[in-house]
Amino acid sequence: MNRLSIILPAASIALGSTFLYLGFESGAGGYVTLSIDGAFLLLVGIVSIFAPRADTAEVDYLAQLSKQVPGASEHFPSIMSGKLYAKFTRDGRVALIDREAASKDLNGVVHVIEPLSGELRRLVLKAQTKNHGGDRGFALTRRFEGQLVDKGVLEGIHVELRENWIEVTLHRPVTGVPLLPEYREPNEAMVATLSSLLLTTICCLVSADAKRDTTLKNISRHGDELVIQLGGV
Amino acid sequence: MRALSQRLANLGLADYLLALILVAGLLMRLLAPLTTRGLPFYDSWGYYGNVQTMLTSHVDPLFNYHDKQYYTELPLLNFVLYLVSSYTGISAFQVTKYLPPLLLTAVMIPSVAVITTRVTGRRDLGLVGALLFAISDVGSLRESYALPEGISIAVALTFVICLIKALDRRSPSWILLSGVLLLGVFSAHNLTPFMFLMISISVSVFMLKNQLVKLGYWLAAPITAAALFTSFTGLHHNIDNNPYSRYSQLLQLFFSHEKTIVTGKQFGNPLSGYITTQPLTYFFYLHIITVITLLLAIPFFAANIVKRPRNISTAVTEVWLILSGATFVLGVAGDSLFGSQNPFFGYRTWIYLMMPAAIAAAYTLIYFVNARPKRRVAAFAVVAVALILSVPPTVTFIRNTNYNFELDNAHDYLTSAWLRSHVAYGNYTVYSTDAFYGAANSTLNGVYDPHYFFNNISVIYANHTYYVVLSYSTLKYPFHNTGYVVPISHFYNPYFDRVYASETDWIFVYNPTLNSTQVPLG
Repeated sequence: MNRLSIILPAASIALGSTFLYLGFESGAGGYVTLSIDGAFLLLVGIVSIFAPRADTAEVDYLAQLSKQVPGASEHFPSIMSGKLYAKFTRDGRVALIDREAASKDLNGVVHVIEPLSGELRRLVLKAQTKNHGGDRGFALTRRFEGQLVDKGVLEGIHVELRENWIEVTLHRPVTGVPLLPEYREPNEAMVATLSSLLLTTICCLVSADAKRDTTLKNISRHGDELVIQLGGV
Repeated sequence: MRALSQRLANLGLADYLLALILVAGLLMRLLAPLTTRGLPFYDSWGYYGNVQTMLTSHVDPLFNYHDKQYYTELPLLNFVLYLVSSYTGISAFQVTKYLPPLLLTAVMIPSVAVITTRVTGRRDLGLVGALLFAISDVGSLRESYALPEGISIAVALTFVICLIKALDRRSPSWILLSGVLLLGVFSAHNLTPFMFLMISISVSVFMLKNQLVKLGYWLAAPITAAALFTSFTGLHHNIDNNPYSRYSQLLQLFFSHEKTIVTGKQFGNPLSGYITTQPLTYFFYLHIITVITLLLAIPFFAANIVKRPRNISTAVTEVWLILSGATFVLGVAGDSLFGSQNPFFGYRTWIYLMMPAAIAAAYTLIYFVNARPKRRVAAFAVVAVALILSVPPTVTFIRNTNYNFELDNAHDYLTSAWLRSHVAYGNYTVYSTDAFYGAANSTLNGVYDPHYFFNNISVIYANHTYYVVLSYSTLKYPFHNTGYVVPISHFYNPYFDRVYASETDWIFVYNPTLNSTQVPLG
């Protein structure tokens, strides 16, 4: 628990109570907007004091990786010491790879996480079979476009922990086979935006023990590389 | 220049299609201004009058300088029109007539496309959302004339984009920008901010529930800034009283008619306040595209109630849809139950609902995109046919409505011409109908401008001779408010001489010589 986690709720409760008092004090036809805001601030303060903290970082609820991969957090402390590579496998999983271990071990895969739902993974595998695989990325058929299978556009992610932020480098974003019509080269903004959810989620999990509240700071593109910076809010 | 040509070279099919949709939407919105000699719809006249007062007197006519409050309307629309008119030199009339449809089309249609693209994850469906919004009529058309709801919703749309970006990127800077825009919404209109305040609060609660505590605090900052901005500035009286008192009026009406509502006798045609002679089915025919959009939005609404929204944009849109949908139900139910007494005018709720509904409707089409080819083609063919079929009735609707306005306008022009030729500057007072019912503090105006004259006829110069002008525009205000209705028979008495009469306008002279106990004025 840091100082902010005491100051913010305390300030919120104090301000909320004052606004609520001012709103009610002036009676009917008074500062209604202020009293609504007061009630809201009071609620925010109380909730943030009593709400149970997450076991991991602020994991985006949409991915819910911590729930999908029971015990995954056990693997992270070892990853934190070095660099992490995440590889998107052909069948729709993300493999977290420890390169140092990989030099000694066979493949160095630390853990495999599954960001895709069972249904989507079934579709991916089915299409994979239909298209006889492919050398690069997934066979993204039209079937998936509506389902936001943006995960398939990633080939490799390089995550590096710096002093106060984490740098994630996405090597050679591959836009699937065939290219999605929305992802018009060289405008890759869509790829970056859609994939940021996945990247953020992975990185939040990775940095869970090192730093809470890790969020996406910036995404920039340099040639074939997308650099994604993460840090505290 | 090179960068521009490079950018132009990079434009894809989707960009050209969006431009086409913009043109289609703009044509729809320019239809009324281009075919009307006056201003489209009633509301614009008031704003035109305000802008003209600002240009001539350099005061804000809506602002009560004594109490330092805005009592009737909020200032943003007036100031935008005033600034454009004074800097460009284009007349206030032309600016009021053409700027809102041009500006709001340019802001709203691309904004709906952007949000729909984010929600659906597909640019083509983003275009479908923009198209549904661009050519629908009931809500999206009316907002694009000089109306404070229009400008506040345009600001609010960009606010929603900022909010989505802020949540997507966990970025406080986008939240700060959204805060600035939220202040814009609060300075534009009195009912719209309430909805966007609630959207922000719901999204904050949603963040807290998902343990994004710090971001929740960041989001609380603009809401608090907006609350303070409202409470301690001239906006306070209008915003702090208007929406909430309307809710309470509606509740009071509801409980005072409790028994008849329970027995079902209270319910009537919700459209009776707008089109008195036409059945509901004809309304549906006139507004096919709006009806289809609302129907298509229902699966999106239901799916995201049953299951968690799958991304932030969807969650924000769902919150937006729920709040505007609830307001819509309140508005339509109020119209049905209480007709002209309903304090929550239904037309406004159509405006609010159409934007999230267009986005949600486009999302529903994803199910058809993923369907088998034959079904997909059939589904899109049905939508395309509906779109094509909807154009003639929409145009008919706009033309019919504006024909009536134009008729009133023509008579009003003649009336003001008569006044100009028969009533010279001097010692007389001209009252309009609303001068008798509450609006006695009508603007003092020394300018003889036929445009201004229509809805602001209380031109007071001196106190010797009293002229009373009645016009259909003021007698039959579109959303029947008893405060505006003056029985014409009231003036057929010995104390008034009728000096002018046309189909929709009448001028009486108050004769002070009869006796001292005559009908009081004002």
